[in-house]
Amino acid sequence: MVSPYNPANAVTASRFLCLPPFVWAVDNGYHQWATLFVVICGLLDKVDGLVAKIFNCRSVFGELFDAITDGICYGFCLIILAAYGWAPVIPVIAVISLGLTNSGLRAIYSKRVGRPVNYKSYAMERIVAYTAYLLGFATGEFEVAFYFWMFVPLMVIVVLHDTKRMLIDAVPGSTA
Amino acid sequence: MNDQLVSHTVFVWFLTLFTGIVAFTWFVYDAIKLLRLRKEDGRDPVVHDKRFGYGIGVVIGAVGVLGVLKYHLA
Repeated sequence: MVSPYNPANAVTASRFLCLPPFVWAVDNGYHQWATLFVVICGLLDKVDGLVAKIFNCRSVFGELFDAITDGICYGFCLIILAAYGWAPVIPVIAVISLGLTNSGLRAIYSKRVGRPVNYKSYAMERIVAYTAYLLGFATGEFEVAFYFWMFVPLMVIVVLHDTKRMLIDAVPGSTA
Repeated sequence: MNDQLVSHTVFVWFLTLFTGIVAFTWFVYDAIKLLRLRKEDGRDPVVHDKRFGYGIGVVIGAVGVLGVLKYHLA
C-alpha cells in the first residue's frame, strides 16, 4: 500500500504554487512571466510521473490526484485568461464544460466498474497536453484564435468517443 | 521588476521552436505508433482506443505545425 504522502504527490501538489504568481503576472500584463509559470506548471506535470517511477510510489490515488490537479490548474488558468481578455471566451467555456462533463463521466464509469479506476483514454491524454499548450499560446499571444478554435471540435470528438466507451461499451474484464 | 524576461524577438522564437519542434515530433511519433498498429485486431477495445488516441495525436501535431507556419507566413 503506497502512502498518499509520497514524493510524486508532493510534486503534483506543488503545481498549485504556480497559480498565485500566474495571476499576478496576468493582472500586471506581464505576458512572458505568465508564460514562464505555465511552462513550470506543465513541466511539473511531467516530473511527477518520473518521480513516481524513481521512488516506486505509483498509486490509483496518485493518478486521480494528477488528473484532478490538471483539471483545476488548467481550468483556473483558462478562466483567468478569458476574464482578462487574453483568450476567446466561447472556446474557454466549451473547453471547461467538456472537461467537467468528462470528469462526471469518469465518476460514472468508476461506479460501473465498482472500484476507483481512471479510464485510460489515449486521446484525452493528448487533449490535456494540448490544453497546457493553449495556455502558453494565450499568454504568449501566439495565434490564439487559431489554436483555441481548432481545439474545440477535437475535444468534442474525443469526449463523444470516450462517452461511448465509458457508458455504452462493455467494461474491460467483465463477462457481459 | 522588469516586465520582460527576454526581448520580444527571442520570446517569439522561443514559442516558435518550442511549439514547432514538439508538434512535429508529436506528429511523427504518433504516426509511427499508428502505423505499427495496422496489423492489430481493431475489435480489441484497447487497440481501438490506441488507434483513436494516436489518430488524434497526429491531428494535434499537424495543427501545432500549421499554427506556427500561419504565424510566420501570414
